[in-house]
Amino acid sequence: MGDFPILIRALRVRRRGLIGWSVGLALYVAMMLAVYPTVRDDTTFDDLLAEYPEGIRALFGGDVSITSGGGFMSAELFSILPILVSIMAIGAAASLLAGDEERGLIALVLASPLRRRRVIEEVSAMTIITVVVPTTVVAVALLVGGPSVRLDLAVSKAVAACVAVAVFALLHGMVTLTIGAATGRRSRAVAVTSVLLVAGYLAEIVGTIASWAEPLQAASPYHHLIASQPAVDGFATVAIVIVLAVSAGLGVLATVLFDRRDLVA
Amino acid sequence: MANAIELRGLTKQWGDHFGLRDLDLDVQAGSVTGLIGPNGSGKTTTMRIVLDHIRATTGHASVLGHDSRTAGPQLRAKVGYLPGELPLEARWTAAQQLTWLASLHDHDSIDVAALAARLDLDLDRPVGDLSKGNRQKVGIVSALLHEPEVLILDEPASGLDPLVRRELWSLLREAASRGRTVFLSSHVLGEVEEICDRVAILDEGRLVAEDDVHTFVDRRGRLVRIDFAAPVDSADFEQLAMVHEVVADGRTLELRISGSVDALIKAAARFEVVDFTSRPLSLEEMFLETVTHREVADG
Repeated sequence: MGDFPILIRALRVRRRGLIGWSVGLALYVAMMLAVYPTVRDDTTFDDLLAEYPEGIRALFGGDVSITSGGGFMSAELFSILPILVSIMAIGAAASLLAGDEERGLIALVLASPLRRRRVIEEVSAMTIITVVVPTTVVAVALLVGGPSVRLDLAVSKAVAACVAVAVFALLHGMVTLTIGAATGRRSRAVAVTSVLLVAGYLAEIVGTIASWAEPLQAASPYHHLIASQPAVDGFATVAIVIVLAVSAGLGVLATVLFDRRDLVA
Repeated sequence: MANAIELRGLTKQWGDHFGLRDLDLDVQAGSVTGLIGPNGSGKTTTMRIVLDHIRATTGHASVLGHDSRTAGPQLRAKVGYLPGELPLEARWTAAQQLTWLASLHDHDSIDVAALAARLDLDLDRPVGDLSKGNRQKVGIVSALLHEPEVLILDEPASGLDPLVRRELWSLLREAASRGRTVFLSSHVLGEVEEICDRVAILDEGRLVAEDDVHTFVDRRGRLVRIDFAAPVDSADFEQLAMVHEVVADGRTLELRISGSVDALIKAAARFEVVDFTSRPLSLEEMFLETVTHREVADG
């Protein structure tokens, strides 16, 4: 101990939550895998969906066959997983920076030789761990459990989908971190990022139905990373690179903003 | 003697509210200096600027000769800090908490167990089960952990019982005797009188007095109470040079005086005296007087 004190403390205080969420997600994957054979063997699901309006179909992955392994998991798992993992990332980033600042812990840390930049770096590291652990658990659950139900989902596609989710959630974690770094207010960081998360999701849905919302859809990270269905089409490399670059940029911005201001407590 | 902390023209403004106004203050190396004042007078603000947790609007603070704004980690390694409210993990034991706090300082730490024993702190209990006083002990140990040259302690005696407080004072005196500097705040003036070499009084962000604590005590005057057998005319006493204030209540006079009581005793002796008590003003009374006078002057 001593090399990464903030990260080590974060792991200790958030360990239970992280494990709990990951176990929950693994169970969710198991449940989806258990349901999958019913869907796989019944093409009427695809026929049924074809009857639905386009907007509803978009919710289930558009024109991709829902009875395929990738299509099924895109609709049933990878549509909701990015939201759940984002909530985890938002919670971690908000409580470890602004939340700990509000209760005076950051002030205590900053009375030690650690620099403010180190706080941002180590909280960023914990945010990365918070998105990597559950997505890895989901990927492993899919790859281990998939063959038993003849889930036709290639390893590369499963990994691509999980990477997309991790990158998407990391972006929201870094937005939270940056707002926390700028304001020192936990509730503000959570509120603003939650609005962005929901807005990005809604922009995707509305953009599919209404043409006026297409510019909004084009700005939505959900659209590029998640709605592109990496479980079917593989890595959305450009979107991943852009979102990672934006996340890194947010980390730099957070460092600058945090360094300039007074601590709130 | 060199100054461990120097504050020059320190002003902190939030909108149109002043946290500090043009504060100049020296804290001598190896001294125990107390910062006293009512709530909101700027004690914590001063300490937070010294630690670079907040930045002065104008003016600057230096610690051990380095500008606290720019000095960085090397300086903070030499500073120990006890915040007014110590954030702790309820589930961690005091020992776990202290191990973690020590890990923030890349430094060999002192004998935690010995220090905890002196303060009568049980290291094996979860912090969440500890009383306010015991939590405060965790903070005190953590501030002393890395043997800092400068200790910045915000209300260190808060929540401590008298025995532990005495132990804390001897810990701090020992630190000062080893050349460490202690800069502490308090709103309990008796505490300051017990432990400090020097005292600075803040009110509404301004320094209203600063002096050696003994000079303070010597200069602060006495409160004399005389019970007479029959009512007397207070005007006979008001004219005496060393009397500042007389409050007459029937056959009793209360006088605030400075200097020798000789002339007062001789003046009182002209009447039949039933009782005569004389005691030094407490810092509390003096502080109230200082602050009240300022308010009158400002008003």
